[in-house]
Amino acid sequence: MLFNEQSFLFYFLPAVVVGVLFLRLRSSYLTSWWIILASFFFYGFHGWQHLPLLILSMLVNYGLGLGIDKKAVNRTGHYLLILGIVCNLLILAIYKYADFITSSFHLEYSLNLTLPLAISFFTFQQIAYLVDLRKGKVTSPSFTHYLTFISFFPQLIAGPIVRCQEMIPQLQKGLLGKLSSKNFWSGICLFSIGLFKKSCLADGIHPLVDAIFSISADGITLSIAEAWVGVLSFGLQIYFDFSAYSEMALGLGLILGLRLPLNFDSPYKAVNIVDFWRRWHITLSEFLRDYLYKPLGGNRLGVCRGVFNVLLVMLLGGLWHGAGLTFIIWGFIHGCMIGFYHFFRSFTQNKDHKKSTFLHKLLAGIVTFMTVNAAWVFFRSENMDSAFGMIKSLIGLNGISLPRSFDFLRLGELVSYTGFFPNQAIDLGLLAFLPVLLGIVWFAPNAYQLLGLNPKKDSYIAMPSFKTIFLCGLLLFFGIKVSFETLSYDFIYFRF
Amino acid sequence: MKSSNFKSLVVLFTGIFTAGFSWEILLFFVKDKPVPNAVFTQSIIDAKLDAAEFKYESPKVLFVGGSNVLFGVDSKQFSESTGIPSINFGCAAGMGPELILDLISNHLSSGDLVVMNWEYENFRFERSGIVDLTYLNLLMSYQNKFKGKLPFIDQRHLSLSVPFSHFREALLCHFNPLVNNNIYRCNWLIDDEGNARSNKGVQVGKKELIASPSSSLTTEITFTSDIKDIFSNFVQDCRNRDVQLVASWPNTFANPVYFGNSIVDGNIKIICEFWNSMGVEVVGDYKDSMLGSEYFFDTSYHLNAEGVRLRTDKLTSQLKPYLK
Repeated sequence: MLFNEQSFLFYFLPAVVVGVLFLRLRSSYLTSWWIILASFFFYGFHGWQHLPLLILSMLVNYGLGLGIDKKAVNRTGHYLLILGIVCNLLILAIYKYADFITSSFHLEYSLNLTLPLAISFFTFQQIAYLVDLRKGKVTSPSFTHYLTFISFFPQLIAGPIVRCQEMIPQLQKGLLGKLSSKNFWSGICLFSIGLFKKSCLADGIHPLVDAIFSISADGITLSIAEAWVGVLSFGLQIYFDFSAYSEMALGLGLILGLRLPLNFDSPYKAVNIVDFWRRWHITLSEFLRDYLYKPLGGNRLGVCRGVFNVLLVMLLGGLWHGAGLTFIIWGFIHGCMIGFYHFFRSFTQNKDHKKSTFLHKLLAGIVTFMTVNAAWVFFRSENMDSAFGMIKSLIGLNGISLPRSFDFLRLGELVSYTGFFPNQAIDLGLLAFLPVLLGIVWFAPNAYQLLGLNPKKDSYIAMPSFKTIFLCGLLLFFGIKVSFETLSYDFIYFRF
Repeated sequence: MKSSNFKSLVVLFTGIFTAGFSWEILLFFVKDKPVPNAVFTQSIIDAKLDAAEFKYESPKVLFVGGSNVLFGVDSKQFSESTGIPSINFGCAAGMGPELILDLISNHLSSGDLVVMNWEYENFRFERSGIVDLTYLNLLMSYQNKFKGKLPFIDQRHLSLSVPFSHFREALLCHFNPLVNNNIYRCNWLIDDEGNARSNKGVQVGKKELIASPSSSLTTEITFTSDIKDIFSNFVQDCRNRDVQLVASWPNTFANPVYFGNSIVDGNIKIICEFWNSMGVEVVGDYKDSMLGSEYFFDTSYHLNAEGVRLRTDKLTSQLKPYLK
């Protein structure tokens, strides 16, 4: 049951909202339990066998949290925290990385465990909770609030990684199920925009991505044009897919009365790689910064140590996304880029330089966009051979293929004249989609700007104008329309 | 409800209906612009309708089904051995049984015999479920009038099921100045009586056939309400017109996974019960239509010329008691 499936849109969501409307008049306690049960059902719908793991994980972490909270002043709390972190990471390691490790060392033994949905998300969320408890940033909430905080279905599957202090105060104020017109209509609009992005834009370009990366995985050499189309298509697919999920999650949160943290803020408008990570998967970046980078010393111990820390954090960030060498390399590339940026900044910050000009920002934006997109090759490729083959094609090392009509140029052996897309694997009609999507990414306002929301701040939520609601009605129709089609695709971040 | 909420709700639904209406207009705009897949399937239908026009005399025998009939029965061989005119009206399984039955209904007369060999997937046909693109593409172009005969809700469901790519393909296909639509027509050689004649030799290997058992047979069949209605209406129509009706089995590769398989056995049993409940006799055993790999042409449903000869021989002897 995905957010863009009919089972969710026509049955689950209306049932949850009606239940909330009915129960909120009676008790907030019952409303919370209604949401918890609905969340369990939502999670279980994807695979009932993993529901006990989620429940057990929440029970153990809640119990440890109580212990840490009571023993905050002595060493027992510290040991309980270590125990909690080890337990969480151990579960993650067993389910997500055990087979990767055994296969990496060519061991014949395999656990063959299926990856529980969202394990990376609820594990990180609970680690953050335990650490914050130990630091005294939060106190342990009631059991009902804790279960709601972890299992809340809009954020359960693919984030945002919500922190205790962001959600528990809202639950304590009884905001869950307290439906206000502004929240409700903003939520509906955000959800509609997200649904349209997922169904029509991200899934629309899916066949192009799939065709190119599939032939690359089969060992077929791509032309330079095919490689660039593949890279740009995937960059756009994951952009719209993740932004769609984030907006739908925030929208659902608002519909049910809760504000979830911002997770996606036009990352392809970033002017450097650090700026990119402040806009892409914001809650993961903040988690890695606060619970890994800073405890490692951050950049307080000198530039070199700072760069090393960044590399380590991004390697682990890559590994968080998936158990595979390609994800590690992807994380390493981002680590290198951030490290290089820090190094460059430390070198230039003492020198006088004029304010960034428009041209400077434009160039920086293009360079950031291209490097981020080139790095996606490792993220998407099925294996290293395929990824390196694609990188070679991207930079023209596999030759350049021009249309047959350019044959007269006779530019040497590296240039062939078999057409821009010699493998004939892609639907050329979809190419027109690329400039449209790029235009939306770069020039259109994002959903929050369109609705006048500022999810970063606990600010006033304005009621969307009738014009915006009408527009969202149009988008909602097309988003729902796609759910009637034969093919539907999972959210990319579901597999993490 | 506050008035602002009510207004917002009205505006939201206005947006939804405006988009829905626009979508219907777009589909209306492309209904005379068929996509390549529709051109292909319609050319098969045209060949079948020509055959039906050619063999107008009654009583006659019509073999009906998807491409398993097109590539599985030789009506000429049948006619020669029985002396009764017959037509191969096998089209494409993806068209769904409703459209095929609608197409033949104009060509039925008193005393005719209809032999139905439906592919197993056809028992799952549902207008408001996951519909085959072949069916959708035809309904949105050549068979648009047939769409108009369907219930209103189903028409809307089908319109929503049309992918965006349909619109793009239709326009590209129609406005492409370099390519004539006729290149998308089916190039199988089909004779005057509707039989495929280009199925010479073997193009599919045994390994390939073994590796791809029909999932519609190996997973439990549940008859949809649509399929029950479609067939019971057709049976009733045939009764009213004094047309005899029997059911047979689609030719399939005899994949070892089918034998001793409780799901397959269960499926066969409920198909027999389904036909019997409507008073339609089932001719022969399903294993009669399961042949070895050497008799298949390009897929596990399409027989080659030798396979067709064998299958038609068997079917002829099984149908003799029903011939007047």
